[in-house]
Amino acid sequence: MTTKAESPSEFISTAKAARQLGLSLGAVQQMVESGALAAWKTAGGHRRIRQDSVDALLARSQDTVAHPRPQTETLRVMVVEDDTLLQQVYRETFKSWSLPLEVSLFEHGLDALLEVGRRAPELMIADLRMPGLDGFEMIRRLRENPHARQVAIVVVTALSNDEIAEAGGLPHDVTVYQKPVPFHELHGYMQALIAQRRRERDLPA
Amino acid sequence: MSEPTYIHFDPQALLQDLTGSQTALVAVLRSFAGWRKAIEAELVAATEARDPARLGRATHTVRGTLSQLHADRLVGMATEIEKRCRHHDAGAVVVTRADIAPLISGLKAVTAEVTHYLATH
Repeated sequence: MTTKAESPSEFISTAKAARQLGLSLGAVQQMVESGALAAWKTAGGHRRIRQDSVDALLARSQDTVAHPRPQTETLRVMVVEDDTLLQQVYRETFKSWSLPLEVSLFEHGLDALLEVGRRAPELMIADLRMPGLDGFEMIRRLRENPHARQVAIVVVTALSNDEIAEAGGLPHDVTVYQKPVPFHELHGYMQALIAQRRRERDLPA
Repeated sequence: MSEPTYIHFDPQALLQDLTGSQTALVAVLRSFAGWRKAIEAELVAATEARDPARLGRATHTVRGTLSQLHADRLVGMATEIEKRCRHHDAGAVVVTRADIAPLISGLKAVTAEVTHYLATH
């Protein structure tokens, strides 16, 4: 976060940035802390966020077109996990399988959302506690996006069911697993999705 | 010769989780030492900064990753510290270097066992 004072007209409050981005105050504060939004603090400790960094984020999220799903065997899987070792766990395990997968990994919820808008996966596997836009808010935003309603969402988290409920819960169509990552279940889930795609593809128009 | 007993993590359970891929197991364990160094630095920095939110995030990361390694005792420790960070009173110092010391020495013990496993497999 910069501490340099600049023209006040270039900056907006956290509340205004949250309204413009359609996010919660907490999410915007975390995005400032993680550097996703440029900001400085007033002497009284209030954040002032650069309007152009909010505009840039909005432009990225609006510059998104829903692409038709490819008619291939490959299942597009997006993993959203901020921990580097667990990213490695996902990458190495998926690589060892013989399933037709196209896997992309994202550290932040916002980056994942932007990618979903650009090219939606068939399956998203997401952590919940992440810096910046966390998994709860990312999933809420994803379910609000009409282009992404078909994305199957599996949450893999260290949080217990009580902790998830305490944090506001998740939509009923989200499958939740506790860590360690349940790869046997994920394998079966992916096989089922691939089989479903084959059936849909083979059905007469 | 029988398989040595690992008390701080469970390579067999991890291997089973990784659907039996020894290649994946070795690749993951090779990354562990670097991960441990980074998370240990973050635990210390967050504690010294007296920042419960930051320390809560770091212990949550430890909780998630070590559950993958079936390091159950350390998962319990990390969960306790995370809870204390979440329910702290504003401005109160809830966790000190002494509180995180067992977690840090536990992380070192896991690293030693991971190194032994990699050297012998």
